[in-house]
Amino acid sequence: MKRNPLKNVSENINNCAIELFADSRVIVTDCKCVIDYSDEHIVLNLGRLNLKITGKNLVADSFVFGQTDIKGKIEKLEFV
Amino acid sequence: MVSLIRYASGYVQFCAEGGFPERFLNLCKINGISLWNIKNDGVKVEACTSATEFKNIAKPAKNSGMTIKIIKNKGIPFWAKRHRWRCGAVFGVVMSICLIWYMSGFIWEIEIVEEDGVKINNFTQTLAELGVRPGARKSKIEIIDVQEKLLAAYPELSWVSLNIFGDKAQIEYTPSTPAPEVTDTKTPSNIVAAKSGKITLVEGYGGTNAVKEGAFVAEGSLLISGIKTNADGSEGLTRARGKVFARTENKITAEKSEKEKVLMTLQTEKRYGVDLFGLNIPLGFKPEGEIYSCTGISLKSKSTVLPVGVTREEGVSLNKIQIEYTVEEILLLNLLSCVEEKREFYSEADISSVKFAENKGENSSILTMSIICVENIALEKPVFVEEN
Repeated sequence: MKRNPLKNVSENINNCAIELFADSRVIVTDCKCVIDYSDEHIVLNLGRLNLKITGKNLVADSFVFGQTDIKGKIEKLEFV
Repeated sequence: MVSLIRYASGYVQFCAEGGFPERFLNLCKINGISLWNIKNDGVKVEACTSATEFKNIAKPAKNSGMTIKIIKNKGIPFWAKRHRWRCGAVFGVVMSICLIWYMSGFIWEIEIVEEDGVKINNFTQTLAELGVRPGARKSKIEIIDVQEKLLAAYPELSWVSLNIFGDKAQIEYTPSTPAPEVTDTKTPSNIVAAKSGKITLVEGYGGTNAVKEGAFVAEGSLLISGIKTNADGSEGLTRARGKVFARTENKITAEKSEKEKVLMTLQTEKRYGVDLFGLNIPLGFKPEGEIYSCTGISLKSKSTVLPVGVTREEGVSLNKIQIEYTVEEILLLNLLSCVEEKREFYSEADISSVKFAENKGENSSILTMSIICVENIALEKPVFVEEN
């Protein structure tokens, strides 16, 4: 049986939503907390999975009530 | 829009050093403290939060081992607090806005548009009596009522329009065209001689000519008869019309005393005043005098008349003194009297010769002017018919 690589993602993200606007902005809804934060990478906890955003000049334009708005030059999005 | 709201409510830009930045951000999120513009350069974390939520940031900072330093306070609440001792300036701004709003409810300029340059006497005064004057409240002017009253006050007007543009009231009017005079041909009348003279020309438009050119007529003589003969031989009455020119001789006499009292001005008093938005503020006491006049000059901005100006009141006191005329002055004054007496009449007559004769009276000089001219001596005299 072919393994669906996105299966764990859909099961573990629950109500989290990730909106990607080209490579300059990403909005993550219902993230639990911030694991790591710097100019070049931001790691957000979405429940059982973590979302790592890699790029340059990353800035959290908004961090309120579980919605995180991150702007900058986004190079990579990973689930870790 | 969001930036505007944040600025209106006020926000704090701070930096947090040391400790655990991620834990600090998570604790802020848990405590309901919203952050934005979060930057982490590895050494310190810079962020912004609202002024009200900044008060609660001490606990998350302490729990995460972060030291908070305020970089800048932005927003209207902080600006108002910095300038709280300058409340007078704010009060002045608010009062000026209120004053401009209140003053814009008044009329400050009256413009009268006259069609064909026809001017009406005392029009401005009548407008003021009807409530349309500089300084009048716009809301208290009933436009239709004013227009109707103006038409009633001035029958020579056929149309009047009052329009209010901003603080200017513009009145336009059109004079009425008078009805042509209807020639009355039914009332019977005769043309008689107003003066004695020798007939030079008879122009009869109605009736029967009773005199011919060259005839000498006395005052009151019949010139054109109102009795006409019909085609069937019967006679009837009509209105005699026409012009009868005759050579007449007229004498005009003027007498002037050698010593005559003449009025001369001796003292003039002036008072200036400031006219401010319809309120006249005098600068001094009212001038005394037998003749009083008041003039005013208003400031102008291009074509707009401003409700600010200067008024000048002048009072002239007269004192009668007696002077003695010279011979030449008496002669000239007598001549002026003679000419002025019948200036309009003799402007239509054809004057052929004028002779002057001067006589001396008791302390006076008499000038007699004899004029021979050709003039219209026709005088219409109605004929009254008794009905049986």
